[in-house]
Amino acid sequence: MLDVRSLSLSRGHRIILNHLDFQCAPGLIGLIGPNGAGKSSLIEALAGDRAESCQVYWNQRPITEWPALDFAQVRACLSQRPEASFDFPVSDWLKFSRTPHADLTTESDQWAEHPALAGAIAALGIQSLLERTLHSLSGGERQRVQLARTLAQVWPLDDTPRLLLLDEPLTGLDLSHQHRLLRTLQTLGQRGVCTVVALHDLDLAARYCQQLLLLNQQTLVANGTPHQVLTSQHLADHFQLDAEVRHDLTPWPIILTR
Amino acid sequence: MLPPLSFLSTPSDPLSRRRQYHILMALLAIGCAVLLSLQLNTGSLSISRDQLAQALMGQGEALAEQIVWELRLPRALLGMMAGAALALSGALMQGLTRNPLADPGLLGIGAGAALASATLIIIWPNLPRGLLIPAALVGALLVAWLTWRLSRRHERSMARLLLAGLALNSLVTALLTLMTWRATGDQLRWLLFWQLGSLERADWPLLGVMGSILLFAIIRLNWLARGLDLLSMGEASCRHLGWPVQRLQRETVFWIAVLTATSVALCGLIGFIGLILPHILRLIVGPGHTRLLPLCMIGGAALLLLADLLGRTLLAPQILPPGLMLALIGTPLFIHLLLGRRALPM
Repeated sequence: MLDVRSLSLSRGHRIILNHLDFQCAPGLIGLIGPNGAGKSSLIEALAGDRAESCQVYWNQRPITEWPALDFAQVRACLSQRPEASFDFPVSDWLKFSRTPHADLTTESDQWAEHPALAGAIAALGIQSLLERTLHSLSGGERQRVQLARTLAQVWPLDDTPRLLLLDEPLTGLDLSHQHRLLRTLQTLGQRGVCTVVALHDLDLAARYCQQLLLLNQQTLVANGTPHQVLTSQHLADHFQLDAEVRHDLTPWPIILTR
Repeated sequence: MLPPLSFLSTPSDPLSRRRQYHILMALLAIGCAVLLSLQLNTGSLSISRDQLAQALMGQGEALAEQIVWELRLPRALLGMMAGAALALSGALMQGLTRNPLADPGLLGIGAGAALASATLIIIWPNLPRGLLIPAALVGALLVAWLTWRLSRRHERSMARLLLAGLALNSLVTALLTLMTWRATGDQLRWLLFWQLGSLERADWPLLGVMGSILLFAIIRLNWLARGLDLLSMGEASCRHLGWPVQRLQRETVFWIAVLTATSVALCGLIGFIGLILPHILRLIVGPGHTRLLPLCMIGGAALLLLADLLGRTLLAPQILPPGLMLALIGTPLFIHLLLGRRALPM
């Protein structure tokens, strides 16, 4: 599905990522690493925003060769600091997500019954926010609306494989909404959505992700299941964290910091 | 004290917002028609309604026909078209920069058009007036291009765009002032015409050019409006939705320059409409450009007609420049709207 072949990124003379190779199947894939490891740059490259994105393949085809509108129907991306320049009603914001599919206009009255929007609204629990405008929302509420908008763009309505890229989506969400979002992403994975999500919370990454990509110092230092990636050695080497990782207490690894 | 404008508050549900948009559109259209008829009736020579109707149908007295067809109607139509063009270019600029304080005048595009026209008319005093539009367009596009290039020199940002525009605007305005200082006689009259703005130099062939430009802009309006809505999510998000961001930005800059340049070439620098009107209308109908852009066109037409009518009648026979009248009408209304809201649609 998602295939990254020898991807290198640089900004000016500074190398950000160096020869990354990995593949991802549908499901929830966590992108972890210390600050400045290149997670956001990798998300940008996977979204097709960089010239080097030609090294990224989606369904055996370089993403730079996909027609923009066709790719927009199967790929959605939420950046770390999403913009909302004008005070749009939440309903309009959600409707914009279906632009690539051309199956909804801003004038539609029955928009909330559209299966993609209905699914995303229910998943993020934003029914009570639909009559509000963006600038009247709290930070966490606005993040949930942005997430719903992103999810609605690639909400699975058929068997087409889809790619969802989320850069630190848990920012501003309370604990219950963090778990709710990650459970939704797991469910979407079972329906053919490949979600790559940059996370800082290693406990949540361990619990919900089926595959983890650990970035540090411009390279992919580990790629595998949470049990393979989250080891005491990796945590010490790449996060300078003195921790014991227990693999026997729960189905997912538990990190016990000392 | 102005009465409370409760009907202007933005309703939250889509049905009410749509109804409010249609009501406002109808009110502005009726306002335009009323102001147009008042414009045609107002002047040093009094023309009754019957005389006006006969003159419009080509069956009136020769003098009345001449006044209506050669002076009042071209002036009124120029006011409507320039108002529509200025308000539309302001709304496009605010959508493009995602900044409700942006305005083609603020970014030097209007001054660039005025400087190019003024330079040409000083070098070539008997210049055919039809050449003023291409000259203004070259000036506007040059300043727009320079602003755009400067803003993208390193990392692109809207703050950089606004700062580059402000700097260029200061430079171009200084050059225009320098020319005023050095000018004499006829040259000074032309320069004052551009700096104060006036609807007195309307003629039919140039109105035809402006009308055609507005018509082409209207044809592209829906595409631009939908694109600018998506652009308010940021360039990357707009691109992720499959919209051609660079084409949208280029085409929007082109229309801003063309609309501003045409109105500057025909009626000089008229400020305020491009900045304030989109802002006021956004407070009422919300930020969606599919509603905002058509409303700005019809609202701009009505507002400039009103400003010109007041400018011609308040201190008659003296005529006050429409730009001055616009500031006098719009500022109190704008402040009233601002004070009446807790949150701004920015």
